[in-house]
Amino acid sequence: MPLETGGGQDLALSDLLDRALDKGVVLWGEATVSLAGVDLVYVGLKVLIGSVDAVQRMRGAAPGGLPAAEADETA
Amino acid sequence: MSDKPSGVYVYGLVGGTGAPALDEERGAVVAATLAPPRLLSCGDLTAIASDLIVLGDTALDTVMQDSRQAEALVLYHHAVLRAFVGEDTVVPFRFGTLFHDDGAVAGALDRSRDGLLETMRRVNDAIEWGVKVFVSRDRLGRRIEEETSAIAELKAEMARARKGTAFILKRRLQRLIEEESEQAIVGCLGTITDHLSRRARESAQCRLQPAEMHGRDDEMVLHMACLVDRGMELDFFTLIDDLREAYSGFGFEFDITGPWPPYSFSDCRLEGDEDAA
Repeated sequence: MPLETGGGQDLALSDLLDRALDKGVVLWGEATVSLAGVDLVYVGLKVLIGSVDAVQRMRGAAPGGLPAAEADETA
Repeated sequence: MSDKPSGVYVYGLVGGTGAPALDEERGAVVAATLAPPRLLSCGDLTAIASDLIVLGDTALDTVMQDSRQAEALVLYHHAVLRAFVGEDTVVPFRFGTLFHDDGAVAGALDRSRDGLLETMRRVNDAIEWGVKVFVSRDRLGRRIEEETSAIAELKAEMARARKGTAFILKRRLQRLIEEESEQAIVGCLGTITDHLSRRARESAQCRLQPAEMHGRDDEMVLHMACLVDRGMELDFFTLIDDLREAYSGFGFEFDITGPWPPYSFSDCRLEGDEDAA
């Protein structure tokens, strides 16, 4: 389920989810808006990994797609 | 429909103050939009942030629980960090870090300043690369059959044996191949891990993925994240090529993923507010 990125590398959705939703700095506090749904999002996205057209649909779901710096490298 | 910002979304921190060229298009889905990223300075910390606009009366939780909309936002989160990591040191925040306004972001950064600066130093001028190692047990088993003397002796014994005995010997042969394969995998992975760890500034084990996630016929036996100094990527890739060449005859294959913002080395929880529970 690869998504083409720069340098001939493929970005697998599963790799991205394992990082962006499971790692990285967690900064909590009173001023943080509650995103209690994040765990649910993760479950939902995991299910979608098996879907054949998930990545293409994801690309289409974001008008303008990825920022230019990334999109340029897909050429 | 209201288009007032619902909050300030923070992607992470960036070491410098220069922003890469980003498309003016927004990370938008049906009910929510992330405005083009901007830099938000707070003393010696600089956050990459966007206004998040949730349209109309839609509750934010409703947006986040819609997988398709959340997918688009996750991809945009990564795309923004990916654009910055090409140019500068980035400390990625976990997806979904949202504050009421710029003042709340600044306050949280200020209160977690020491931990954030420590993380910034840890990943300074380095990029994360993922390494996945797969093994074909069939190919490894065939190689072991060819090279193990105990197996050759067992096969010769089988050739001489009667039918009933040959059946028992065949079971023993299969068990022996499986045991030898397991030992070979453990030994090879120990060496591979050692090489990767020595070439990286830091390394970390990642979750092994099941076949339905990695999509290959072979079994994933190692998944590592390696923090590699910027400018040392070619050395790192050369090491992977060398390992690939050394181990391909045993049924091992290597995949590299990345470059990633250093998610696996920014894995800390910080209390952004003194009054937080």
